[in-house]
Amino acid sequence: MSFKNLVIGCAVSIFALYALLLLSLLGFFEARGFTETLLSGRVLFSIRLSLIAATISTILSVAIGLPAAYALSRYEFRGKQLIDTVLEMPMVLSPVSLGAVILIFFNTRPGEFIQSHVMTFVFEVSGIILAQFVTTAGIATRLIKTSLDEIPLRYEAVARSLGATPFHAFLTVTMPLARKGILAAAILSWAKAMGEFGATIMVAGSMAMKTETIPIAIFMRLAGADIGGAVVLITILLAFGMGVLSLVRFLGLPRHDQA
Amino acid sequence: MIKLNKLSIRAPGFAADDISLTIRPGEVHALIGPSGAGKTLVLETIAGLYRPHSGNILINDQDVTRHPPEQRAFAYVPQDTSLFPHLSVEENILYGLRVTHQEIHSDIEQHVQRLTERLNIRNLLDRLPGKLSGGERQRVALARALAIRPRLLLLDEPTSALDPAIKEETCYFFKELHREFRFSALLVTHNFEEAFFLSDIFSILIDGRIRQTGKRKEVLYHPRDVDVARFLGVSNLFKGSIIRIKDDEVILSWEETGEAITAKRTFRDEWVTEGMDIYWGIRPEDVHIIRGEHKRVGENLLYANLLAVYSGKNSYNLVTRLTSTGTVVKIALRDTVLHRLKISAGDLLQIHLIPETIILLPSG
Repeated sequence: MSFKNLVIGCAVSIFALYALLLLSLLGFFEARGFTETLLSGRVLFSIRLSLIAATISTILSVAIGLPAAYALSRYEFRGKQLIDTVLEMPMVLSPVSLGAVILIFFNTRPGEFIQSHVMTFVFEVSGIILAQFVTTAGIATRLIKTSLDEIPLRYEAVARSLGATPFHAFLTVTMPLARKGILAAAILSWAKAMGEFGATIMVAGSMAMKTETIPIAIFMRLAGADIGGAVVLITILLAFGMGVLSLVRFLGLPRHDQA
Repeated sequence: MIKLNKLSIRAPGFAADDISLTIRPGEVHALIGPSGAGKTLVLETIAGLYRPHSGNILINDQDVTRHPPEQRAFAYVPQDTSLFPHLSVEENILYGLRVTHQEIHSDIEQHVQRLTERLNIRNLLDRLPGKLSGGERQRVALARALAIRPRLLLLDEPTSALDPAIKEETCYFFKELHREFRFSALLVTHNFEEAFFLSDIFSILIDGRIRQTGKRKEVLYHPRDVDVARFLGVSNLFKGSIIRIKDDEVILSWEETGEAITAKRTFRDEWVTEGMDIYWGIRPEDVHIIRGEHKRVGENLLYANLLAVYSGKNSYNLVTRLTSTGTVVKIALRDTVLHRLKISAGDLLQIHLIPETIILLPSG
């Protein structure tokens, strides 16, 4: 077997694996039951909750990730290496562990203070947003930093020599040039937040009509042996995920494997 | 007037010290040096992108060393022009005016219009930089820099990425523009031909130090040391010692051959004293070949075998070896001269080192 055929064979087998898994859903798929389940109040609530929580957590991730990525990309400062390494924590630590860490934090003095004086997170929608934010902020920052690193520093140097302040140079030159990368980071963070389960269930629990996002709803359906219902929810999640990735391809945005 | 006063710059793997030069209003000053001499770093330090280790940058005696780039009005044109790729040519040109919220009144409008006309880029205003040729990009970058009426234009190797015809055209555009707008500029380049064409005054930067500053003739015919001479094309460099000084003549002994060589002495050679060890040199284009029928006896006349003839752009480079000692002497001849002489490799030649063109250099 030639090298070319060997590597193509590997690519095809990965596709076959995922295709096989997806095809197995068909055995439990019922067209009538699908519409009924989809339009049920509980599923619609999960979809709405997932969309809202993922959108808010993505906005927060990009809002802090963009300036943070700029600092890491453009400036030298003490602790930069450490911050850069910590950004990968959500990738190294499993989501369940990350959720457990958040939960443990809220059992410490500062955590309890926040819970009672600032905002309640545990078993609340805000907990879902927090869990998703913690999971995606590092990734969003890393992805945006990669885009900013590709923009030559010289553009900003010229802009500043023409009278732009550092903020203006960032706003009028660097950000427009990195816009595709920033948008791709936002979309991929959103997709990641939509599918987030481990950290969410640890922090927000699995309360129907309160903290039940789509992934949690899938877990609940399976726990209740409702495979048909789980298949409907998996299909919805899959549609959102694939839709977003297609959008990334359609817009010609850079895709980063780290996400 | 812009002054660099004993500027010292430190960067990983690079150090420049004692960088002092003055740029008078309307003057184009060239900072020339070999590749890797740190010229761009010096330019970017002047632009305010790096902080010097010590020394000052003064604008009309006001110290701006610690001012950020946006407060200096030193418009920077990098080697690759760095036109903003997401903005049209017009938006690029107006960038500096817009970002500083300057009202584009009729005076500024006229200034920008004149610039775009002189640089022949009026028909490109709607285009994106990605659609421009190398020469057009360079002209747009000049317009963008000059639109803000900078105190100083900082040019980094402005034509090094252009092909020869466009390079020449861009140089002429620059000269025309300078004649009309009389801006002050600091140009860094490793190409001294470009520097001599574009600039009024020259500073030679070698190994992180300015070795010499002067006008064209001064640096070309009176280089201050061996490194400057070698960089400026004095490829025939030899050791010697001064035998005698008489009026405007210096007789020196050529160490390698023992021959006595006569050189003309100018007021710049007053450092030369009898008995002193020196270096001396002559440009390949200043070594003349005596035609066969005119062979003569006299000062600075030597015999050499022609080893090889290499063709250049407008001239030929000849490598000869002295019959007495085998010392290599390089000669440059214009195409027409070589054809008239009818010489080829292997011929015995009589060569003449013209005393007025011999350069005396300190040995230490």
